[in-house]
Amino acid sequence: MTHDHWTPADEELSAALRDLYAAPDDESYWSALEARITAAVAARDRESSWWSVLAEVAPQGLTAAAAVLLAATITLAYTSRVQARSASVSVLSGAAASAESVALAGSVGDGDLTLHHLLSP
Amino acid sequence: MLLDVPAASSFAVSAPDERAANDRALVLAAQRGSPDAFAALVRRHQRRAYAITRAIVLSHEDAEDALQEGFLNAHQALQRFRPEQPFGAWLHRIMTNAALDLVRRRRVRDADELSESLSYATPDPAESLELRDRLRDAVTRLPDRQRAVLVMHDVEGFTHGEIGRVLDIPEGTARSDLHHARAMLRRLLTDLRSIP
Repeated sequence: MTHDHWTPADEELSAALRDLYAAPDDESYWSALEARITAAVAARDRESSWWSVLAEVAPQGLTAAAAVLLAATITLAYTSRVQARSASVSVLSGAAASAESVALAGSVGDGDLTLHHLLSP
Repeated sequence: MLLDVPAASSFAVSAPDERAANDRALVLAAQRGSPDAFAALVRRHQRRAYAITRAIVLSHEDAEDALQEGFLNAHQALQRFRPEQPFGAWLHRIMTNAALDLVRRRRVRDADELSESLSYATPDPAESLELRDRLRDAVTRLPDRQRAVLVMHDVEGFTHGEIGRVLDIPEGTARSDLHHARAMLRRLLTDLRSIP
């Protein structure tokens, strides 16, 4: 490494660097680290399997929800129409009844007047 | 489910070709869903992977966290990995990215908090040694990539080519980063080095 001008004195530095950054050489450390990593992977797997179950169920759930919503909308629309129709029927029948009674009252009145006119001298 | 997972002991000593073949068998088994196979891959590669993350981050604890995150990412991406490729090179790139992500996240932290965590990161009886303290401080002042190149080369013995592949930089850049890192370290440690 002459191009780096790494002198023998720098070897001391290099050794200190190795000392500073040295990976643990205790076998139990690596076993524990491996266990930690594999446990984290298993936990992530469990988490993602939950999501995958949800992802599998989601389309069916959405379809069912859409069907329920559609049924509710149709029922609501039908109920509103029925209510509107019965309301208009009741209004119309009420109006007809009052018109008839008015006409009846009118005819009675007119008849009386005619009779009164004919009988009058 | 019976899976053909080679015993871990059979990986103790193996030539590079044999090692690659064993990696391939383990990757295939892990892709079929064997946790044992993935654990064996972790066992085989964690030391080298640690060396990479440790070179990039500033503390031993961060190196462990980056290592775990890297293996989680590797496990998640394993189905997309083509087993005919070298697993080690692929994993090292994932480790590098995990470590760089961690460095980016740490950078937003308060500098005081960071230096405090560094001083308690690796308790060691030799901490009082001036060279060690000064070196620790000087190394943290190096630009991230230069520090990574220096540690990978001088501590872990990576070649310039390997460093280039891991960090995704040309070999010449790795070489010049190493030169600049050493020059800066020398400058930062001049006072100390002049002490007889």
